[in-house]
Amino acid sequence: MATNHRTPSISRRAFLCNSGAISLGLMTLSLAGGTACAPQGGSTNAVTFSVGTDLISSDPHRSGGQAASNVQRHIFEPLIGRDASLNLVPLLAKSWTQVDPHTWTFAIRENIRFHDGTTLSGRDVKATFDRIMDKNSPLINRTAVSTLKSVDLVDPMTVRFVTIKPDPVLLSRLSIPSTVILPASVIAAITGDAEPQPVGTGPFKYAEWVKDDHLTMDAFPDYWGTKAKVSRLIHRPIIEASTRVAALRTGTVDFITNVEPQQIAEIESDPKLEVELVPNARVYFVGMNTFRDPFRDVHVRQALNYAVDVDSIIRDLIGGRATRVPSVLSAEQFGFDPTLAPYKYDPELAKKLLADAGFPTGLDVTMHTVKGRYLLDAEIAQAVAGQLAKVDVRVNVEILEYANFLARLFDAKNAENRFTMFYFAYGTPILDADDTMAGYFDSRRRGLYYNDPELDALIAEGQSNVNADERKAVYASALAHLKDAAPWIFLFQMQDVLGVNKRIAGWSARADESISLAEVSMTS
Amino acid sequence: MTRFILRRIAQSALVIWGVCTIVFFLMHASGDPVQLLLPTDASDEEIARVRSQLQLDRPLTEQYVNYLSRLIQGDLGQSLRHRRPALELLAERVPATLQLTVGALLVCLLVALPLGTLSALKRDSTIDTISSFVALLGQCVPTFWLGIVLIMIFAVQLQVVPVMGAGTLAHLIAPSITLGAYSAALATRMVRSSLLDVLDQEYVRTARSKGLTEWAIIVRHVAPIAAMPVVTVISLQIGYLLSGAIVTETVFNYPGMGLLVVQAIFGRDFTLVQGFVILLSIVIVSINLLVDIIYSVLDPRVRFQ
Repeated sequence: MATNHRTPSISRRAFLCNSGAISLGLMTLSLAGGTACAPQGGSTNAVTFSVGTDLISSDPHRSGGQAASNVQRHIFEPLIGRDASLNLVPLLAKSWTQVDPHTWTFAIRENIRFHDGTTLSGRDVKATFDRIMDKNSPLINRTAVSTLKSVDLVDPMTVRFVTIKPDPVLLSRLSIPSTVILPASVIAAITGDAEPQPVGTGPFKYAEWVKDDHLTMDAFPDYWGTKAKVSRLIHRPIIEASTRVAALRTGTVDFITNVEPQQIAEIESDPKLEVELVPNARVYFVGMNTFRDPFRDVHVRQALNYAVDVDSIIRDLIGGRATRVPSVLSAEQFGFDPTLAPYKYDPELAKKLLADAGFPTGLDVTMHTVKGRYLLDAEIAQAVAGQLAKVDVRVNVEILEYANFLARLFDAKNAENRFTMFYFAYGTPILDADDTMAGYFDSRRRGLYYNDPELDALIAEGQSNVNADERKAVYASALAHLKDAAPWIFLFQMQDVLGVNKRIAGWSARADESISLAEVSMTS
Repeated sequence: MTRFILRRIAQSALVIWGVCTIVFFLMHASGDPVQLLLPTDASDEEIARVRSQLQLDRPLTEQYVNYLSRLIQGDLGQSLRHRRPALELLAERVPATLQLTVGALLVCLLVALPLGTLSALKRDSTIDTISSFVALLGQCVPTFWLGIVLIMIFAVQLQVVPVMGAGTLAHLIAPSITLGAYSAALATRMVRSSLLDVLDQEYVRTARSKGLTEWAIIVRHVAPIAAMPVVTVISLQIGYLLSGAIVTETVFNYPGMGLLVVQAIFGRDFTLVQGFVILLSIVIVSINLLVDIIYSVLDPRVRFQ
């Protein structure tokens, strides 16, 4: 066949000439590029990090999710902060007093400079909260100010907050990233949908933002607190997890979040890098619709809690990087009761409860979940289904895309559209029991999958009682109620996995998913 | 001729309208952007307020009519998440995506022309077998996987290209290869079969018997004829490359239209996704139209079919 007469041969010289030209062209292409591939910011005293996605907006009052908050917290600051143990500590407010159940006054810290050179005063605080409370402001995250009635100036450095009803969670609310203080002059200059100038009081000031590529922050020399040890902080959004790890390995970034379990070994094999674990307050659970069969019967719900060997899921699937929760709260949330014990694993008891409830041959049910939103979400749902199969609860796991999942999960209008059973995680930065209690179980707010008058009363008590010890007792009762009513299969709280280059030190990560590189330092 | 072109333009407009409509209803049926914009503990009143601000509380038909009437005036609407005109957001990303597309096209040509030609000239030789295998591989390998493998080898192990990002020529190399691989494979096979078709023709044999050098035959007599179907396939690949940029840009975190749109899809940013699909369909329909017109000029029979 090789001697086919129709197969002509090109002359040797012509072929060499041709391929030579092509190789030369390719070489030029790669050389021209090769000179410019040093990681950005690598030469100066700059630390680069990646928390996943990029900001949607430079406006800190808009809800941009946890990733955006973790970038913006270096530029902006709220009135109140949290220390490493998650205790509330003074930040831009140096002290506060509760005048009566509805009224708080905050003394604003003196001599604090904004990045534009102006000095912080009570006026800026009032302007900020007026902006957040204004119902006509587009897309502002108003969750934190839902209980606020007014914010007024008492004197130039004192601000009075009045709430609609007594709000024991107010201080926590004033610590979350969507309540950071902007200068009054910047707020006054906003027109329509435009974003405010990114001017804050934080240790770093905004320098440059190229959307989806990098956001550069320079150290602010006039910062009031501990000054930054590096001259520059660069955030590089990297959505894809394996690309993030590749960027860490090449030194393109020094710090990454959301490392997947299968990537841990890859990072640990590199002597320059290390893996760090941080507890996360988010609670993972399987929700059951108690307004629908077969979960109307509390015995069925309790049976499912006895049927799942949560410890083995933690050990075998998550590599031990999770801790069981006995009810709906995790250890870092206010109101958690450490004396409450989780359901023990008892498949025999589960079978008996199911039989007594009228399901001697088991039952069939569909569980919905997302994939890729939370660590190993679909895999964990499958593992739970596998455990339930052992007591003849045959679970069909269906995966939905997150937007679709969320639309059905909290469909306030159409009860038919909601799920019978689902795998989900709940947690917000406020770290207070009220978040989960009111956001999920309160019949006046949601209570879409379970609610109860007795629980409603406890939730209302927790929302209005400003005595911390009494509130704890109220939530202990609520947690015990929920454990018995078993509207969830209570699972665990996980640990976040971070990848860090050993050349940086001084970063901090907390259980409320906040990351700070404000005091990071770097060795060459 | 004018009638033919006008008819084709009208057909193209119909196609674009169809695409807009399908995308509009699919996006609205598949999730709620407001719940994704707000924290999970946002109250129902809060959700209702934002929904009304974004005018998503109006009846779907009313939203559709508004959307079409804006579209006719050339307004793609405002991005729900970014609160900026969708056209402006997309236009900012066009240069980066075009660079990537051109890079991929270059990869396609640099691989397909020499490899396809060589395997046609050396039919059934070892080179031909290798080239067929490479082409098959290029068509089978998923873009996503290829991108990650290239990052692992060239960025992490050899450190000759950057892991991700954009800005220099070096940033373009790995994404261009990733994106261009499929088209390169397709075009290699096309060049080969097209050349073989022409090489079979009698006028080639005549040219050879006249004593022309093999090189002269290829360049002067074979290539121009064989190029026709190759050019068609490659120009139709431009649409594939533009849309394929979505996956490639995500893997390499390359800040083009694809990366913007992937996030818009997950966030159910209806207007932005619709804007992208409309732009893309206009580009693809225009290329098809252009190819049709060029064909009708070159071959008058096309006009009467």
